[in-house]
Amino acid sequence: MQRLTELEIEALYNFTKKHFVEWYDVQTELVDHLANGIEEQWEEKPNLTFDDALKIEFKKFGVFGFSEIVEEKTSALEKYYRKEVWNCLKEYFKFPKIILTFFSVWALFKILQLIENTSYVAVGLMVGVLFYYSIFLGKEGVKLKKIQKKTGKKWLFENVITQLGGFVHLLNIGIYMPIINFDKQWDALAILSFSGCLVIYSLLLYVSIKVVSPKLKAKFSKEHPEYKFL
Amino acid sequence: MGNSNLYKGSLTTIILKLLNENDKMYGYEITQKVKELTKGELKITEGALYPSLHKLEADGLLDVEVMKVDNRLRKYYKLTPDGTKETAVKLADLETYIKTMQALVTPKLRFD
Repeated sequence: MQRLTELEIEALYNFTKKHFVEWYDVQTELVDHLANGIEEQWEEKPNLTFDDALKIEFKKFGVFGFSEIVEEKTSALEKYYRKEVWNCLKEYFKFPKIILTFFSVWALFKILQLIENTSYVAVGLMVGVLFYYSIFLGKEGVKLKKIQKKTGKKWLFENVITQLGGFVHLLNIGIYMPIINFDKQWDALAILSFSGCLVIYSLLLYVSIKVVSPKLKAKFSKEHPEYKFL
Repeated sequence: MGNSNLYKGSLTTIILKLLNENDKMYGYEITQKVKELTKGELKITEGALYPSLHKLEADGLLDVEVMKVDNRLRKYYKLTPDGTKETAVKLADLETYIKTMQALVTPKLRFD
């Protein structure tokens, strides 16, 4: 059976890139599919050129080409990420971790009650969390660029991690700051609500950055031997 | 294929069933296997196959392994323990569906 050469495989990677598949992990699966299809065609028509066989194979992907596959893959990965975050977060509302969750809310509530300028302290806490969040995004961004520079490859799952599975905008605490009213004195209910929200928010961020993102990286390192060595 | 719409809802079950019978399979292999088993009656399109595989993977029903085969990388899919359980459920559902459809399309004659 006539097989594709290394150069032709490279040409298939470039072909997927040209057709808007920028992620190496997605390209790899499509390249193998196209290669199998082309080799199958050569079985029946050995004189068919590589380019003509590729055209026939690509047509089978329909009018939208690879775009639907990339979109669906991205949304499936984001869904997987969010599901993992949700499963981990649920643990903090079950025994024994729920004790830590309630203690954190109670401790924050008590501290905020003792302080006069509650609004300023609340904003200070939010800025602190925003700083932690920005450090993570910055580090991941630099790492992504380094990998891309070194290998010329971009990985979809790395991008999903950097986007926190689509939570990236929701977890930007800066967008919630305008809610704080500096002219109004905080009552007990307002302090309790803020304490509860900040603890849940911090848990969500912690679980995403420290639990799910490393777990996803470990999973992909196991699946993609090439990524393991980066 | 006669009417692709009739098969659409069963794509996931078809994939799970094939993976249940074979230890691991890759995308192209699945399309060819279906073509072969149905003697060309059913052709799974590429645009439908991969989104289904990726969804099953995200749902934790499939595990993935990337291996170098010949001069390229190949992504294999295999069932997880949850995937095996889900296959049995989906097949039972499909069987019930087929029986119901048969009862509707070819009702038994009664001579009382």
